[in-house]
Amino acid sequence: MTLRTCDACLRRTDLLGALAARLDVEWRRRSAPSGVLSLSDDALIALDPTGAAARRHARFRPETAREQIAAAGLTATCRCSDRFPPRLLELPDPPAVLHVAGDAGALDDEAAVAVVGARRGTPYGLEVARGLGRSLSAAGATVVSGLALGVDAAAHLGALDGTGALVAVLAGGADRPYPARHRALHRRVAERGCVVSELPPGVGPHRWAFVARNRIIAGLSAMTIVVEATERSGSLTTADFAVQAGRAVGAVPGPVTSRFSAGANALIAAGAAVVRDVRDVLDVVPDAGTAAEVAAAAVGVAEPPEPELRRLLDRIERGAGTAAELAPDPEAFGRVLHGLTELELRGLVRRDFGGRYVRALGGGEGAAAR
Amino acid sequence: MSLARVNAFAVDGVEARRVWVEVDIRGGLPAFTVVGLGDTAVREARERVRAAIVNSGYEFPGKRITVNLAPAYLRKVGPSFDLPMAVAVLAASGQLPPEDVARCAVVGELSLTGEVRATRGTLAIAEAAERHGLARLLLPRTRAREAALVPALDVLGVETLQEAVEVLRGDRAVAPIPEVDAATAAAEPDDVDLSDVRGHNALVPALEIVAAGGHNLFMHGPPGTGKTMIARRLPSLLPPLTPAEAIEITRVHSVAGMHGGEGLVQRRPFRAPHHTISASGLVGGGAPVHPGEVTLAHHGVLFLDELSEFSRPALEALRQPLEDGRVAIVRAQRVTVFPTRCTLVAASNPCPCGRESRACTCSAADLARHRRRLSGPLLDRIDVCIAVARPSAAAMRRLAAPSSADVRARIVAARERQVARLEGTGLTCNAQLTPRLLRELANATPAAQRRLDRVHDRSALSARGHGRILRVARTIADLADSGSVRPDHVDQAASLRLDDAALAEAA
Amino acid sequence: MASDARKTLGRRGEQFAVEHLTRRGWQVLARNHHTRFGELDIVARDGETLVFCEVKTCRAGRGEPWDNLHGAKRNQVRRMASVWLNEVRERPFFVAVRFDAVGVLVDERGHLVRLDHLEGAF
Repeated sequence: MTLRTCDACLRRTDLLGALAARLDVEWRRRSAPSGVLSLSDDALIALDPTGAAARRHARFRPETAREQIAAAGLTATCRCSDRFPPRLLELPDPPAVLHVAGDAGALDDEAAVAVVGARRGTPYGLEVARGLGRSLSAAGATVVSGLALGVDAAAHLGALDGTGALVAVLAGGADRPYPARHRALHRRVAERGCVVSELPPGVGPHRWAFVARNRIIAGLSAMTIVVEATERSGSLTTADFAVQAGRAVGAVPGPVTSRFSAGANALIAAGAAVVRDVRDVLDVVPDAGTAAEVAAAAVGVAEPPEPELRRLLDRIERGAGTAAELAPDPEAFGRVLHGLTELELRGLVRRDFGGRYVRALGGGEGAAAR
Repeated sequence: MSLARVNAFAVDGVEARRVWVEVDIRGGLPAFTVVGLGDTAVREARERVRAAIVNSGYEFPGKRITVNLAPAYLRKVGPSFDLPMAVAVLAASGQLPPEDVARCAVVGELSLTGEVRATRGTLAIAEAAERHGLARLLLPRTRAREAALVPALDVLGVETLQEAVEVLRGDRAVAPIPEVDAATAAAEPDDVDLSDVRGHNALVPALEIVAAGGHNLFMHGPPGTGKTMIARRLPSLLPPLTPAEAIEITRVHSVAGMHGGEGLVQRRPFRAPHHTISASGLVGGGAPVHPGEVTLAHHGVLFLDELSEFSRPALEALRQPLEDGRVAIVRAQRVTVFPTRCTLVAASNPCPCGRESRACTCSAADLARHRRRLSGPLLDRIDVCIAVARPSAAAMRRLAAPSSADVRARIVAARERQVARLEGTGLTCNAQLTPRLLRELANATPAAQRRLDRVHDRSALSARGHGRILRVARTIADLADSGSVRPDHVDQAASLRLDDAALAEAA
Repeated sequence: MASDARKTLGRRGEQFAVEHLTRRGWQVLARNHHTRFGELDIVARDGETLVFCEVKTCRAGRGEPWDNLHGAKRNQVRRMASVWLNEVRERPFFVAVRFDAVGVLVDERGHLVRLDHLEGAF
């Protein structure tokens, strides 16, 4: 089914794109981002004293905009259209136009799940994000995130291992992978789902747009999960938007000694659902995936039956990660090494770069997220 | 006019080249000129030679003296031509019969008072002298022991110019070669024993595997965890030096001026250059060409601590020498080849903050950046990777540990098995196995192959990674005296692997 | 049999010599150029100078490469050089001509031990 956009919405979107830089300033002046996005077209035009915006608005031709969208390989739908995801309309300021790279059908899943978190996370956070993305997708859920460094990318990568659809929401045009390093990831997400943006093709990302797109991530999802966040992480705004839109919010707990998990832990303290794995998610959003598939995808937090392996696993969980620490004496060395490889093959531990062993959350072939 | 000619030698790379010291004395205004492409030390020889001759009670001819160091194209460096020049001047001026210096090589520096001082590269010089068919070598007595390693040579160790002349004339018997100074011998304690490594006892098996198979090692751990101490124990675990190896090491160290003249080097070298070292310091270079650390570590261990801090050019320069076992230093007029067959031990902190994993405050981005600083191609040469942590207090108290002797016995046995298996290939240990030979000779059971395949799938091994695990598994099997590689051996080797994903991350 | 071994040794040495000259940025114009007086090992160009290189290879430990570069050999090379200059018309213009010697020491496995390049050796 072809997607339609109305002229008025296209015109407004064009205005937003043209004023993108100026909006950064406005954003900082007003406390709530919605203060900017809810401005009328005229109010937006008034923000530009040079009159260039007014002239552009007057000269705007919808057909040119549609041609540009098609030329960039995108399709688009506007909030007036019946193909527009209804749950986005629940936002106080839904995006006027959604530009889509890939299959817009991926936006139809009412029970999608957003997995977000810090850009600069720890290996723990990346491991969990990837595992969550993987198991959610294996259960058939649509996984939504922002294509950013760190947790977002890990969640997307994990989801690619499963069968569910993927959605990435960008701050700039949907045709421009951001960050540039994620060019290949951008392509893969568009192949397995779609990459969307409310800004026209070719527009670069601006600071206000990063926050603005977080509301779309929250708006598209039945539940937003924060995997790892410092107290001041931008991913916490996504949780805020979810709360405002009446959606579920979850967070993955982290060590109380780690500042990287302080934000996520604070969310839990404030009432967010504790998310340890995909089953906790399905408890909150049963429609996200099927239980049968979940059981199949369930990661073995299960203990191994052999006592010696269990003992080894215990000690690893308690922090002993090197072969020297795990082997009480030289004679046991060979046995310990053998046990470590066995545990690794079962997906219960992971061997990191330098040869340290840590508890793992299973998963398929390929190195775990780093 | 009188002419005399004395054999001398110039050290070039790790060997010595013959130099003729020709002296021409004729009538004319007194002059003393030295020609023949010498460096400053050679030109300054005039002062030393003149003073030494006079102070030794001989006559310095008041005529026109020209000294030529032939061949002219060979660069002569250093003060070791003093003694041959003095001898040649004395011979040309009739104070020493020329036939007494025939078939005799002469090297040594002279002090102003006529004492003969030690110079570098004695073993290389002695070997060259013998190669050129010379029967005798006149040299500083402190280096006589080293020269005596060349059996067919008549070593004349002297302490003064006067003694040298008298010995050449036959008026005096040459003094016997001095015994090794007991004091200096005791100063170097006979090596570090494994049982010293308190708290790291469990790492001994890993070292055993590394030593038995000749594998390179990468240690990963925070500072202060004893990585250097562990690395230092490795040379003592490697098989005992063969006579040929001992000679090679002695030659190299002597040329580098490191050897005190005690004769044959008995221990495998351990070199641990600081990470600020340049590429030429690491692999050799300069003018005149000098051997680098990797050559000084020949037949021993080269330890690179804090691998990420070494400069990229230095690490790049190491690649080829580690692969080939030799390095060619190229200059416009000359290509000099140094040997570089050594075991590489590299160590690195897991992350910039330097704290243990639980307390580590680094983000994934910090870690990735730190890892990129490690040299991928160098790590590719490493078969075994172990993580090292601070030993607990309980571990430190544990005293039970195998002594070096027990472990060495197992290692020697394992090496013998490898040598037998590799007969005819020109290789001597598992680490050198090429992919083709590995396939032919590994003798892995089908169950072991399947196990390796599982590991391969789970951790996305490259073909090289696959080979690395199999090589180490072969060594583990040799240590266990097993003819075939079994799944258990594969497991142990897999647990010691250097992760391929890690290599992709390191630039 | 012995001469075959000598030939292979000689070829190895020439290969090392060619690599060295190429590394120095020289252009090798001819190798083993056959004339009625014998073979010219290497003819190369160093900038505007035409260089005739005689390569001498020997096994490490068995003497020096220069042992065989005596007067008769040098004259032979000179003669061959003038033949080359006459016969080979297709060549760039040169300002000067020079005779170099390259001595190569090789170990028992055929690996390079040392290489000396004397410019204007004769």
